[in-house]
Parts: sequence; C-alpha cells; structure tokens
Amino acid sequence: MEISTTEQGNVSIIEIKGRVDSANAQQFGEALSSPISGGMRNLVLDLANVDYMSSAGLRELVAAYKKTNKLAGDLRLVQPSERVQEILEIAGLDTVFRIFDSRVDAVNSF
Amino acid sequence: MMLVERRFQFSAVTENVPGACDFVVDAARAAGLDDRAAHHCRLAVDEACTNVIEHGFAQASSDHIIEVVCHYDDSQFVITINDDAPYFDPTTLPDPKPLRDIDQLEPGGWGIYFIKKLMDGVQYERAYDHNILTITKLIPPRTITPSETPTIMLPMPIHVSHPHPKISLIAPNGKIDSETTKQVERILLDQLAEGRKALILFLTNVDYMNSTGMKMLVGVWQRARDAKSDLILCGVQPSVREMLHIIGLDLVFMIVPTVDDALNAVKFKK
Repeated sequence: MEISTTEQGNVSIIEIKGRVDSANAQQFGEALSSPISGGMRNLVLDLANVDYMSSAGLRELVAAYKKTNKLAGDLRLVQPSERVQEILEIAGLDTVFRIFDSRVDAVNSF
Repeated sequence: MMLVERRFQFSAVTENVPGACDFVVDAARAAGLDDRAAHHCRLAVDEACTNVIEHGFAQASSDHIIEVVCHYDDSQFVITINDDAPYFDPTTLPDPKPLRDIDQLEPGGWGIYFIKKLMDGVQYERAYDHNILTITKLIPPRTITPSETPTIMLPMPIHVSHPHPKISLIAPNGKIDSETTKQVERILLDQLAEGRKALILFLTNVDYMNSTGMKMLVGVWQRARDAKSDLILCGVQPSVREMLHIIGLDLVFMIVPTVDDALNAVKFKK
C-alpha cells in the first residue's frame, strides 16, 4: 500500500494506492490520524486506486470520520471503486460519508 | 461431477492472511467463478481469518496454524477455515446496528456480516477441538451475455420468429453445451408441440456445440420426424460443422447454408 498526503489550504488530501486489509489497516489508520494530530480537521481520502478494502479498513475510516467530525471537520471520500463501494453499501456507510467523483469537488466542498 | 480439493495452511498472523486469500482466489477462478465472485471469496476469507486471529487466539497466535480448504464441483465452491483456537463461533455475533448514529457504531460483527451478505452460506461447527467455519459460494451456470463479467444471470438468448405460421426460425446465441442444451431443447420441442411443420435452426451465433448438444438435436430430429415436421440447420459455423461431421450427423440432418435455402427446402406445401 502506498500513501501520499498533501495539503491544499485547510484541507488534507490523502491518496492511497493498493489494498487495505487487516495486515496493513493500522498503517492506513495512521495515515488518516496523523494529519488530524497535525491540526487538520478537513480530510479528503482519494480511493481511486484502492482495489480492495476489508472491514479492518472501514473501521479506520469510521475512526477518522468520528475524530474529524468531533473537531467540526469531516472526512470525505473520492472515487471508491466498485468493490469498495459494495462494502460501503453493505456496512451502510455510503449514506454516512460524503462521496465525490473528483478530488477537486471534494476539496471545494469544504 | 468431480470434487476438487485444495489445502493451504499458514501460521496464524495477519501478515499471512493475504497469501491465504490469494490461494482461495486462485481456486475460485479455477472453479469457474468470475472476478466479482472471486473477490467476494477473498473478502470472506480475509474477514474469517482475521476474526480467528483477533478473537479466537488470545495471544501468541503465531504458534497456531489456520488451515483453509477449498473444494468445489459444478455447482458450488466451498471454503472451510479451521483452527485450534478455543471455541469461537463468529456467526453468533449480532448484525451491526443500522448506522443512524455513527457514535454508536459497533465495529465488531462487520466481518461476519460481510461474509453473510456476500456469500451464499456460512456455517460454524466445533469438532475435535477445532473451530470449523464453512463458507459457500454457488457457481452460476455459464451465461451467454455479451458482457465479460455478468452480474445478472440471464438464460441463453434464443431468438424465435415465424416467417410463416407453420415455420419456426430459431436462433440461439452462444454455446450449446451441458448448461444451455435444455433451454434450446425446450424451445424446439415447444415449437413442435405448437404444430409447426418446419423448424429452422439458424446457428450462425453458435460457436460451440458439445456432444450433449448433439444428442439433444438427434432427439429433437427424431421427434420432428415422428411429427412429420422438418428440422433444418443453417448458418452452421465451421467448428460446429466439423463436430457434426465427426459424429456423422451431417449425413442425417439437413444442413443448408442460409435461411433462404432453409425456407426453400421446407417440404410441406405452404
């Protein structure tokens, strides 16, 4: 799994490439929580290149969502793949997260 | 129906789970499951093994082995995950509560919930001090839809038209094999039962017919003969033509190049 994080104004953009499962979920969680520890509360997670996510990954998503929302910010998602969308739907998370077709739209939504 | 079995064992740590998943996906593809179904199997095994490691084993799980067995036949792909951890039945975990209030989110239970939702069967049993979780994915009959990864199972497209009230033109689309022969047969026999005097089987979109299909055609041909009706094949592809020739059926069936030829060959007075 590759992680890259950039900042655009008051938004932190995290891009993940590869798969998120129980073997690397902790690392994924750290990628989400470290901008928050650094004072960012508006997160955009670009999932366009994530071909697989298990419940371990969803748990980290939810943890980061809760943290950002407690700080009056949010975690928003960009382009989840069909596979990831499927489990978001089963978990009922597709109605909880704001999901965007592009990074630009997600960033501008803040 | 051949039962194929493959086994994979690994030391119960999360780093080894992706390898077990790869093993299962490999077996799933070999069993004939498509990308989407194989992905569901991957997720199911990921979730199940992770549950065993995180809940089943209190600590030092690396001392323990998890065994994954895949066995399959024509109709189902069965994954068995067994471990020697203390009793742990993941199927008894309650379904996650509906997410109205995310603060109330109970992250536990998601894994098994996914397995239940994405797979066709999940069962737990305890035997010989082992937890045994059996997960099943049904293997759909082969489909003839044009898309590469069908998500909806459709029956074989078979077009039926009537150039004349007593003549049926039947055009199947795809392979005539053990899965689809019955559909084709049903339509042909229905046409005969409706009193059609000629069945023209237009095979231009059939690239493959196996011996089951051939046998079916012979049966239909006999019924047509008994009903004093014609069975005429046209637009036969070279590969199918060759099969007919090898069995000698090209001397039995009337085979003509085009639909027009077939219409002209019909014997009864129109």
